[in-house]
Amino acid sequence: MITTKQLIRSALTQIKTAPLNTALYISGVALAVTTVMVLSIIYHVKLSPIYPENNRDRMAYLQQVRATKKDGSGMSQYYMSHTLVKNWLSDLKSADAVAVISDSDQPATIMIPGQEILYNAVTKFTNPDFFKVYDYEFIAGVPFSPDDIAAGRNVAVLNQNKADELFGNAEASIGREIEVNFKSTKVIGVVKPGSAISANSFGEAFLPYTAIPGYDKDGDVGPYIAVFLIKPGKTIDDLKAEISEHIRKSDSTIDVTHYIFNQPYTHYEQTFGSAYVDEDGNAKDAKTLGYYAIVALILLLVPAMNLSGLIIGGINRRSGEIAIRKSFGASRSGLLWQLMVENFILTLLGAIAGLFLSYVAVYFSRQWIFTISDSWVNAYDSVPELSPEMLLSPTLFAIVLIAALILNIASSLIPSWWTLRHPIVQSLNEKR
Amino acid sequence: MNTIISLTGINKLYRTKEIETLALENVNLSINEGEFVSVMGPSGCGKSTLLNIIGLLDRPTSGTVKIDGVEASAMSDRSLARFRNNELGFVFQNFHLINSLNVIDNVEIPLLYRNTPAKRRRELAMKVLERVGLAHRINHYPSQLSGGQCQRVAIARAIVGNPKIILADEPTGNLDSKMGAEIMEILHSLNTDDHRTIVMVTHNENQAKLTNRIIRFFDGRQVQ
Repeated sequence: MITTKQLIRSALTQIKTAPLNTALYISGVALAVTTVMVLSIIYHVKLSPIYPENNRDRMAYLQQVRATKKDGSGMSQYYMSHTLVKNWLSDLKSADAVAVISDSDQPATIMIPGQEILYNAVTKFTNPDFFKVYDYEFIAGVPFSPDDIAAGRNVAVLNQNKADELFGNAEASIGREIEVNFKSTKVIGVVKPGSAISANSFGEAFLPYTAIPGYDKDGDVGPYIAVFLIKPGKTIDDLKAEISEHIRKSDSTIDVTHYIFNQPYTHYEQTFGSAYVDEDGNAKDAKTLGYYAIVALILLLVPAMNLSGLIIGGINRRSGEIAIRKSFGASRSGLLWQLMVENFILTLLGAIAGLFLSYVAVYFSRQWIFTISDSWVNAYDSVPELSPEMLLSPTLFAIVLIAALILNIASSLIPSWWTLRHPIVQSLNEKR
Repeated sequence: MNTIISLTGINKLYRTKEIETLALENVNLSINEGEFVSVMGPSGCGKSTLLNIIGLLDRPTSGTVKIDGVEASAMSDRSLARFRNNELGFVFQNFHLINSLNVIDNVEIPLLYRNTPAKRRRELAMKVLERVGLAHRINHYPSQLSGGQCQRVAIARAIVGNPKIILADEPTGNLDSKMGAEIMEILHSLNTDDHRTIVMVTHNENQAKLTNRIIRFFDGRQVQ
């Protein structure tokens, strides 16, 4: 069998002997891999454990609620009211924590008393369990407590960027007074910032939802969504069953029937949104994943077909060498392996270039690219931060390798095999 | 003497859409172990086709080829490759060296396909290159060598795997007389010193006369 050193040297020789063809091939691979990698990075960021959403495998979401009057006089659909939160989500045995988040997480104004500068901040009105469901790292201070919620205290946890902007550093922020939407609020904690890409967890200032005036103003539906951290050993079905039971009990005492579309959804289901869940809320996981896999495959196969032409040209130039090797004992399968590996070296170069290109593409389009085909990621005005764990993941490297392998096999297997079927004598005569 | 090459009733027909060409017609031939045989005849008479069939590079349309007692017609592609690797060495008129490989890597090719360890490959390749007088050129590329030197590399490649049979297709055809004589000297030494069987296609009557036997072809038929 030909040695690795010779394989690499042979691949380099191909680059030297046909630089234009090689450059076109590597560029073609790079562009194909870029397309797939951009898609992969988007879904990696949405699906993999990424700070502060480190527990995505245990997270579940309850958002939409439909309330229908039992007498048929009306129907409304939105999120949960405060009463529903209390009736449905208290004492859940299947969940370690339940983050309750108000939909009023809009840009707010912040001022430091005595100063006239107006700062903007993305606020998140939530409860203490929010900091259990999401793994926020406290750089200084503490999260707000159940007592703060019960008392509706105006306290805030800032993210480090906002703390730095307001007070210079995290430590200096603790205990300071700020005005959030002109309401005096005390800073009690500072967390390492998350990314705006993860909209459910992102915020620059976190406050108790009970600090919102009229937070418990009730209707059949309301402004609250819930994110659950499922207890280890429990399943999403356990959680669903438990909440269904709570709803059944709660609804039996009122004149409204509530329907929650087979929620809570897992993080997977939540990410893929309507593409992943049918009208009745049933997961269509295999179908949707298959759809994404086919899209990725097409993104690779179409350029692979085009690249085959370049491969055929390259292999035809080498038909004499192939015939010589066959004359001296190389088998067809051994030569096929050699050609495929040599080509894989070039494909890998293209794939690595494609990976870097995809980083560049994602970086420059980060403000909008993560909202593609997504119903819940909001494009905040602030530019989303891209952390190393979002881009330098073993999963992504594995995808690059798989993409390169698919491209290599799809573009070079048939041309190589075809050339190797050429009679030795004919190839030798052509070389002559 | 043992028969090492045996051809029985060999026909080779080339077909295209328009015409059929009978390149070899009912060839029956035996070559003994250790013989140095010349194949002669005018261009297009089937000499090279015969050599390709003996070398298992091409299959006859009909007939039986036996090399060292093994019938080749039923062999799979992989078995043929292994058999060529062990039993046969080729020297071509145009040398057929791989231009992207240097001298020693070219010579090592047959050993690569029998999984000889790298160190041993280098030893064996150096040994045969010393024998053909090119030990000082191991890192040169074919484009940096003269025609005679290229053919000596090709001979080194043909013998490095220690095959019993060497098939040479007009080995001096592209060389001047001095270089041609040097190559013939090496081939004779391989025959007399190493007792290798050599089948050589040639147009050179003088070179042929120095071999053990001359087989003459005309229009695909063996005439002598």
